[in-house]
Amino acid sequence: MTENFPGFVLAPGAEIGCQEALQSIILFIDNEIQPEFVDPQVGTSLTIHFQECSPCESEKAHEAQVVKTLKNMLSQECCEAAPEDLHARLLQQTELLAAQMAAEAALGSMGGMGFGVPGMSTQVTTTFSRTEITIDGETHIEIETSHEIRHDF
Amino acid sequence: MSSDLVIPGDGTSTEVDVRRPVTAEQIAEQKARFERDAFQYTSQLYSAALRYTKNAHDAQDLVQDTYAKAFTSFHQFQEGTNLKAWLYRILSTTFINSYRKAQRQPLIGSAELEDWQIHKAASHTSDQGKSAEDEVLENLPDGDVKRALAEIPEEFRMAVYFADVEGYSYKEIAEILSVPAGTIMSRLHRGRKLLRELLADYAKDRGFNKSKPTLSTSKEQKP
Repeated sequence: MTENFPGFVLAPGAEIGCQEALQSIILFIDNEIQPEFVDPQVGTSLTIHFQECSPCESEKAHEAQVVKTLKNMLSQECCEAAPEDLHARLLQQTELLAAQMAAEAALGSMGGMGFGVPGMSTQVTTTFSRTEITIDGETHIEIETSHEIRHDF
Repeated sequence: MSSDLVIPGDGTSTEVDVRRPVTAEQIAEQKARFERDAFQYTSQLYSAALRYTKNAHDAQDLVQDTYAKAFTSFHQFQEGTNLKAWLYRILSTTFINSYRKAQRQPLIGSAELEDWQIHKAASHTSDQGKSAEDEVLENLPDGDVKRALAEIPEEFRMAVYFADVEGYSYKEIAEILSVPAGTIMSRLHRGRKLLRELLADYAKDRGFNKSKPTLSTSKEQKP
C-alpha cells in the first residue's frame, strides 16, 4: 500500500490535517491517489479536507496550474527531431545486425558451411567480443562484432 | 517489483531466448517488425537522450546504441506491452552503464536523495508568493525551461522529463529507471521545485519586475 512511498506514509484512519493534505498535493496533481499507493479511506479523507479547507484547496489549485504550465513549456521545448542522418545510420545498423544474425545462425546450424544462393558457397568469418558487466546484481552482456570477412566461392 | 519490460541481461529466463530468430525468414520478419514498430520513436528517444547527454553528438550515439541493443534483443520484447517504454528503459540503462562514467557527471549522493522528505516545509504559500510565481512563468522567454531542466541533477531531471513531457505514471517511470515508485514521487517533487527555483532565479537575473513586462535582453545567452 503506502510502504512504497517513503515520503508519504499515512495509516488508514490517520487524522488528516493541513500538513497531510499539503503533502498529498503532488499525488492529486499526478493522478496517483490510487489504492495501490494510498489507502482508499485516506484518499477520501484527503478529498474531504480539500473541500472544507480553502487555503489547502487554493494551494492545490495553484500547484496544479504551475505544473500544467511547466508541462506545456517543457513539451514545447524538449521535442527535438532526430537528425536525418541518424535515421539513415539506424537503418544501416539494422541491416548490418540482421546480416550478422543470419551469418551467426547459419554458422550455428550448418557448422560453418556455406549459405545463401544455391550453387554458391560463402564462408563468413566473424570475430565477436563478449563483455559482461554486473552492477547491483544486474548483469549486462554486450556482444560486439569486431570484423567480418566474407569469401564467396 | 515486477516488470513488464524485459531488457537484455536483466535475468530473463532461457524460455525467452527460445524465441530468438534463427532462420533467414525469422530474422527478416524480426527486422521488418522492428523497423515498422520501433523506428517511429526515434525523435522521442533522441529528445530523451539529449536530456541525458546534453549534447547532440553523444545523444545520437546513445540512440544508436539503444537501437542496436533493442534490435538484437527484440525477440525478448513482449508483444502488447509498451514498446516506447521498453526502448526508454534500454536507453536509460545504456546511458548509466556506458556514458555516465565517461561524462563524469556529478551525481548527488543516494543518501541525500533518500533522506529528502516531502514532510519538510509543507505550509501554505502566501497569495503574494503565488502571484509572483505566476508572473515569472507568464514572462519566461523561450529556452528558459529547457536550460533549467538541463541544470538540475540527472535523477530529478529524468523523473521530471518522463512525467511531465512523456506523461508516464510513477509506476511506469519506476520501471524505466529501475527505482521504486516512491522514489519517483520524491524525485519529481524535488525536481519540479528545483526547476521553479531556477526559473525564478533567471527572471531575477534579468531584473524582471512588473513595470518591465517586455524584456529586450531575453534572447541573450549568458556565457
